[in-house]
Amino acid sequence: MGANNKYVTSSSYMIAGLKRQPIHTGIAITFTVISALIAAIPIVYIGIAIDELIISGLSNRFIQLCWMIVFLALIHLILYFIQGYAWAGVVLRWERGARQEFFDTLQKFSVTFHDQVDKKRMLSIAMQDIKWVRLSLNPALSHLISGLASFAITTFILSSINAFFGIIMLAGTPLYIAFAYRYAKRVEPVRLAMAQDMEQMTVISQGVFQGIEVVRSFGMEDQEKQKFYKTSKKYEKMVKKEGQLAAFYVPSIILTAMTATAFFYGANNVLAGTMTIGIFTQVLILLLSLEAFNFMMSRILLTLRGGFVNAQRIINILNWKDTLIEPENKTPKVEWTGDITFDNVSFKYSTTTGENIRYALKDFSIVIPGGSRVALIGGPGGGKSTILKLLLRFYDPTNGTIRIGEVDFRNIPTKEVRNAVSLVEQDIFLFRKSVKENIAFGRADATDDEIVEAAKRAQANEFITQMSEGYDTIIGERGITLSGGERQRLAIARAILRNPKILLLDDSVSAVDSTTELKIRKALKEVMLERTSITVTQRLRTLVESDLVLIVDKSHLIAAGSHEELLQTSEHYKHIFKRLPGASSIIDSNRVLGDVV
Amino acid sequence: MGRSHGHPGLMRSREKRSRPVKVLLSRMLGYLGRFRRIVIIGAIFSLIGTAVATIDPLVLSWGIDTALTPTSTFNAILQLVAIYVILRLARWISEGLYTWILADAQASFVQTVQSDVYDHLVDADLSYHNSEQSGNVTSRVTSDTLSLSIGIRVLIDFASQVVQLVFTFLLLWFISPLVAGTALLVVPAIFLISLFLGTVGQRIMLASQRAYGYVSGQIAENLSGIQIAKAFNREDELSVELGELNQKAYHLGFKFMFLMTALRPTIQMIGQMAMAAMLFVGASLAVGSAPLLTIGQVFLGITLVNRFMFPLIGLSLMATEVQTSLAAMDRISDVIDSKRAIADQLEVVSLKKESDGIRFENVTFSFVEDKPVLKNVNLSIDPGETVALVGHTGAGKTTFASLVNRFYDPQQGRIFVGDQDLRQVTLDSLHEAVSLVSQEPYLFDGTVMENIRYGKSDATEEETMNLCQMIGANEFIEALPNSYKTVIVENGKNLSAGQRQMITIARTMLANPRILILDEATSRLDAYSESLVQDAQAKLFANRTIIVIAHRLTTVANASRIAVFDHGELIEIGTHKELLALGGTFKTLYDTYYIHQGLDELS
Repeated sequence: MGANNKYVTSSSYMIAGLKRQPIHTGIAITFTVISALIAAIPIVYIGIAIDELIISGLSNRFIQLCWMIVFLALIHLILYFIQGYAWAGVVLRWERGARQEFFDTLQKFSVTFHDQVDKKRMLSIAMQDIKWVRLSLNPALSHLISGLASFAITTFILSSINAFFGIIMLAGTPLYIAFAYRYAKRVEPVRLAMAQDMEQMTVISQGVFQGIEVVRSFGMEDQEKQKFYKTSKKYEKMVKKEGQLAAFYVPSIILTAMTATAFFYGANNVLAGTMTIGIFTQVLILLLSLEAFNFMMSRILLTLRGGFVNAQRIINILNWKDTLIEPENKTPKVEWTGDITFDNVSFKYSTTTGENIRYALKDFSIVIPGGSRVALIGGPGGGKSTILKLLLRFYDPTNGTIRIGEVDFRNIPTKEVRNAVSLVEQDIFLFRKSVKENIAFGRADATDDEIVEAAKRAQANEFITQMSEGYDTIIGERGITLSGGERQRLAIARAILRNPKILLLDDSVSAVDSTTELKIRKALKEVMLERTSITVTQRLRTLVESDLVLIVDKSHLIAAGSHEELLQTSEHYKHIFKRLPGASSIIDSNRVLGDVV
Repeated sequence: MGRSHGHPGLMRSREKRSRPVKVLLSRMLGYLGRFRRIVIIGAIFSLIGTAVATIDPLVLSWGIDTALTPTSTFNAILQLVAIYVILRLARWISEGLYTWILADAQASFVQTVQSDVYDHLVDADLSYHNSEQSGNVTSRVTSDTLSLSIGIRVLIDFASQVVQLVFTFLLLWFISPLVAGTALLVVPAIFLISLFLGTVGQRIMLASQRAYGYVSGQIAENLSGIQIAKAFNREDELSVELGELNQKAYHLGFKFMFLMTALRPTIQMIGQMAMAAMLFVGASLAVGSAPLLTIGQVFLGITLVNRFMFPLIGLSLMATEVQTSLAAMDRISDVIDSKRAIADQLEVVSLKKESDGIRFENVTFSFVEDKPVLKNVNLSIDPGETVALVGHTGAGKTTFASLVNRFYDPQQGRIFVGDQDLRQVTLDSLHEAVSLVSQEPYLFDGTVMENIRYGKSDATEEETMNLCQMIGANEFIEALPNSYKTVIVENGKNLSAGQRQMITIARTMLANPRILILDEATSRLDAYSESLVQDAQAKLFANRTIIVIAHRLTTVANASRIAVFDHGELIEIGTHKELLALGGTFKTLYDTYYIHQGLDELS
């Protein structure tokens, strides 16, 4: 899939999908044209039959002509089936491919992208906008091709009958198309506004339904209703506009003029005896068939042009320029057990609204010895999580470098980084899959034994086996049926199974009951064995047992050292430590600390 | 979360309709009734357009006959052409007016239903929202209302289609009963097609919709877990998984689309066959010494047989669309019909300003029958008192808090604020007095400032910032890309859990309630931030009634009294000292739990 394709215009986006299946598209278009042409022939036969009837009554030739019409109807049916089959295949493959490409591209975009966009919006583009583009290909485009072919064959037949009829068609058709085109362009701003209003309505209502408890407890129901009402009113206006565009379709009048002229001219000719009644009838029926097509034309054009708008929305996303660039050259050998060096690292998050001037991390320098246990502590938003994310290469530093051993992180492909570095995140995300699949998420080839072993080490085996289906139990969306402690242990098992060289733990966990607490600590101890670990923590025990404690606050490294050292040297650390739950009992029981606190 | 309880009717998303067609139709018409005048005017234009459309081939057929009559004059033809053009223009105008008016009515209709459904959903009981995914609930508002509006248009179109059918048939009849009879040949064919569509077509359509639903669900989930997918290098596998679902949807979608596209040529073929038959029958009648038909009438027969078919096919296609919109009406009715278990009674009064303190009298509450979450709870919390609720997970603490907010009503017993029964005060006044910081912080799409001012929209920026300063939230908010104007998306996915919690605390404190309920409100905060919050709380909420659910010893020990819950029962109550001295459940909890929040528990 062309995840790297950049599309220039919305039409090139739509066409690219068709170009990928040239044969099918070719067949679809060819058969559309042929079947439109074939549909005109029976009408010619009707004209001939009427003349035959007038001259020689119910002759054999007349009956033959009737049968010919039936036969052509069958041929047309077959052609049309093939055409329908080809179109259905072409556009649905287009849709399938477009959706897959959209998702794959989104997935490849770095975390910076996902920080900025709303998942609900992306979902609505992936489902709705792509579907609208598909509708603009079929039925809209296919019908348009068929209609244009009908115009062409009618022009051809009429021209061959008589030059005047030819002039009517040759003058009328371009006029018709020009007006139709102008008409269709009007839909674009309307469609764009509609898509945005709909999106906003979805976002508003989903937000409110998710946070209904908050709405309720602040008694904000009326305000929320009012907010929705306003958006839905805006949407109403656009729906109305779009619907009304289909009214008073001007090109209809051109077609009527064409039919009326042909009618007048033909009738006079018949009267003058210069044209047979059969030919006259034939011309009228041909023009009336164009009217049938004209009837659908306004909607077809709106759908087609509307599709351009949706396509533009899609390519606006696909063309997003990623700031995280994978190294082009072959990667140097990385010593993952080596020291991790932050060399004057500064980082700021990108925002959609202009330049961000605030650094999440500023002039951060530290060497983390390979194999050490590091604890991060500090206030909310101080930069702890940012450090973990940089180590996963979710982002590259804005300034400065991060090195592992001697190698700059920027020169290591993200895949390789994430193979060596594992994360147990703060808000554990579990997929709507079985427990087993969730644990094996990072290593699809793990055996059942390995999975159970990992679960045991993460203190998760016990509660898993108590579940109704054991390891095959399906976890609800976002692991909703599990408690926080259980989720965390599953995530630890998931990390253990990966056996990473560097482990990142965001353990700012809410308090749990004592047995769970004990189990989590055991699990943490297991997972930290034999690797470099960096833990965001509030736990006294983890702090005390760490080789290195980093205090990170207000985007800066405040102090670094072992627990004992920091207690001696850092006022900030003393300040924090004093307030940790249980610290007082340590302080009371520890005479060494007596003088510093 | 994820509880399954409450109104069974609202819970399940059914494919079978639960209401008779008649009821649903009359409801749809009921909604339409609000736009009665406009719809009637629109329908009249539609009928005029249809009638004219049926007549205009008649003019052409006269033209043919006139042209065939040697005595005709140039003027006669000119007149006919003029009539034809006028008729066409009349049709163009009336159809345009119809489309114009209907677009208006339809848009207003959708908006009315949307607002109505949305309002009902905002007011729906929490048990409903807890049991449904917010995405599903949202589709009640968005996609269901759209299906409904399509149904409405179909109903309006129905009238004009019927008129066209009858008109055409009458015209055919006037030409010759035999010709009309020939046209009837198409009826059984159309009937078979619509039967096929209604059964096989419908089934494929539903299956295909479901398949696309899975694709959508998968994309949604994968986007939610994108960071984990990246961290574990699982992008390729997830892409393959989606590819499989995508493929399934493609297959079913293909089946359905092919069925629909095959429909048109089949109909066209039937039309052409009918044309041939009409040509033959008409011709037989038009020849001979005493022809029954003119050539013009033969032409008319051929043209009309197609016009006869279109409304027929239109009507049969409507069946499918009407089915879809009836199903939507049914789901919408589920929402609108649901009786709120909790609503203001007739004789409610505002909660009095002086009403304070909380009293539970013999309160029993269960989400699912026979599984009480609270059993016969009696607890009186004095005004100005801070009571800590303690107990294992599932002991009933959060439920207790929800009941004070009147998210639910107890099955037995009564709850008072001051001396007013919760059932007899307005929800508005109750929620003004009582405020909750819940376990799971939830933030709305909007700026940080808007989120904090959610409960008190008239708070000044200064007031808001001062409060944030006080609870220690100012620092990190200032550090956000756009400070207080930073836009929060998806429940603050770029914020840490601690930051989200801080914002929700600020939000509640700013609302300045008389009674404050903190349900694990500071569980995600670091100890330092927590202590700042506690200091602020002590200052701002001194002498107010506070219920606090907490796991941290400090919080619990500072409460004036501690209530210990176990399996829904209130088993111990007293001060920290009293309970420790009692040597009961709290003492055990304390020994195994709180004391271990220190260093030495691992030994």
